[in-house]
Amino acid sequence: MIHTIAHYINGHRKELDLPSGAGSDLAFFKVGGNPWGKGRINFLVFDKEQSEPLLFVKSMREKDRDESLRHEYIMINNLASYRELVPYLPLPVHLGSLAGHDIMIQKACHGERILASLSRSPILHFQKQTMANNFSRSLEFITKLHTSVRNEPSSAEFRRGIIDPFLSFYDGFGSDQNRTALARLLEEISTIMGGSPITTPMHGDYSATNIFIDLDNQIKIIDWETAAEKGLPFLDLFYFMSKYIHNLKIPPRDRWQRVIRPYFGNTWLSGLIGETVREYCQKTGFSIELGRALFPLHFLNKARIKYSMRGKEPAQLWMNLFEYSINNLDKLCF
Amino acid sequence: MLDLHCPTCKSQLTVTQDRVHCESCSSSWERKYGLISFIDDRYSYGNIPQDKWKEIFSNISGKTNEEIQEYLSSVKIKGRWAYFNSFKNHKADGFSFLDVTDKDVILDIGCGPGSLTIPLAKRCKEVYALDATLPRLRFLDIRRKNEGLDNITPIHASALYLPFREPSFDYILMNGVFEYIGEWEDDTDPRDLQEMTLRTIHGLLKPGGHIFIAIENRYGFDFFYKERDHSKLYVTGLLPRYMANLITRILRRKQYRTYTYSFNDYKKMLEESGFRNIQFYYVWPDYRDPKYIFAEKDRNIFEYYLEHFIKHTASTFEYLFFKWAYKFGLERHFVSNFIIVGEK
Repeated sequence: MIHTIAHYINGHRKELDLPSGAGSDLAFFKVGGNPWGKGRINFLVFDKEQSEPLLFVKSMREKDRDESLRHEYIMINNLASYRELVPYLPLPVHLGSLAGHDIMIQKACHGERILASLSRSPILHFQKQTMANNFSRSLEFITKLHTSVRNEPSSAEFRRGIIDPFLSFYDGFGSDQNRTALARLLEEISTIMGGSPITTPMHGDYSATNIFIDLDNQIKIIDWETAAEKGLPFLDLFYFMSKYIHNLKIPPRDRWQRVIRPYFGNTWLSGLIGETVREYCQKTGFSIELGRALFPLHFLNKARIKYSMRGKEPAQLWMNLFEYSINNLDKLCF
Repeated sequence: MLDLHCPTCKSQLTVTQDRVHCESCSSSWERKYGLISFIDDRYSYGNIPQDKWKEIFSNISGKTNEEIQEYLSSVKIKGRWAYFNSFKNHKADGFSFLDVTDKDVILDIGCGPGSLTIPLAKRCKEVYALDATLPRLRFLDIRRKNEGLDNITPIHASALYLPFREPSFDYILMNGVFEYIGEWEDDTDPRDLQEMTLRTIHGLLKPGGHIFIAIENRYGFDFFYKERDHSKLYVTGLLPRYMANLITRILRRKQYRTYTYSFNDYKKMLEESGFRNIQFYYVWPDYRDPKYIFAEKDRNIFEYYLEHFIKHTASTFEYLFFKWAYKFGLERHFVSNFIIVGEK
């Protein structure tokens, strides 16, 4: 497979914006990918002897036209039409097909993922500054995205495209304990948004793993495959914070408890979360009341994505967080 | 389908709907559950006992792959995760560094539940999937039917007595199998058995064909203190064989026969068996879950991996150890898992 990809890259040097002389002798590093189903395989592509990768390649393992690669390509290109978002995107991005395999090639990000700055210390005190910085960096892009790109669907479209899928997923998941509470919450969201609901693009996996801090301190957002053009505001920000806290090594040992506690407690982390949410509201104009109502949905949304990719068991953990949060909204820290 | 040959006398076999017969030495083997089988059912690799297999097959027969995964994720049977995880398609990602085409014929020795067999069958002409544990082949056969793959031939046989004679294969693979060869016959030195198998494989490959071995490095960093050796004890792999044997006899009441080797030893063994152009690939975290793969010769990628992955995911000690090893060009001796490819 890599030989075919190398040949393809050499035939598309101009579109891929490869520096002159680069790309004639390529080396491949298989990184991550999705192991399930038809699955994707990802490569970082290096020029021989170079210490930083040139390109990032996503391809299908099986000969297939993959809608998720196509979707990601379209999503990145659509966002790239907003000039203020361009610095945050891994451009140029190229979609092709070789020997029946869909392939997406984009410029490799240099620098480090935000995840790399996460401390392995169990003591929170020594990582407060880094955390505050990282929350602020994540906020930088998400506020820019949510102020630059907005849609104003009709109430009926909003209900059909945004609200109803949450309900039908919840019903299909086989848990009905909080069906009424969810329906009530969704009603409340519609009410808060009034007659003119707003949707924003949603990354869907906006986590410290998918945010690079480039060598010139510019952040780049990668992995747009679960992105939606029309999503709800706040959810990416909440997910970033939840996943970040989930990845910390601080007590308690139970990662899920670790996520719940700061949101529904009164700790330093609760303060940082509150501050970040208020700053988001201030910059985007969305109300904190809307944020509170949307909060449980970021867990439900993640459960929905996990369910579609990996089935019920991995989704259940996120569903548990959703169920807890919808029943404890009055204790939320912001 | 390739001609099968008698594992004993190497004459051509007659394969019928319900049995396999050798005209020459009059040996005959009945098919088991429709599968070609040359050995009895005593050998069983893995943790799942026979009675549990009955329960599993009664629950998965006639089910879709998704339903089987759902069942395996919920049922409380020790050893089930290996079968659940066999549905992950990334286990064959090492093959993306090779040019497998739809004309290739592959022999998967120790195929297990089909972790590599299934993805490879989607890319090549035919896969002969061989395993000595019958339930694993039955499991693979269910998956095969569910996927509609009619280019897989499961064969219940010992890798020491392969039912093939001619150079017929473009690729022969052993994914986590080579180290177990010594356990299949107690009265021969494990290394002799392993070398004999390499020579047999060399003979069965077409000219230009490739052997593909995924295996641990005897002196891999993980085996210093983090991971157990195949003996299920720590550090036995690092010890002289006689000492490891003494320890396993005392603590595990069995001989030490699961030999792994160093980078140089693997290279030498393959060369001595007639292979050339031997390439090593590093695979992390291990070949059972190959998230990261790159060629040993691409040292620039090792440096990148060191600074962007090991540094942030492994212990400081491991990072500094590999940084030191890289500085002196020694990393290949301590990387814990290899994919090794040799050409005939």
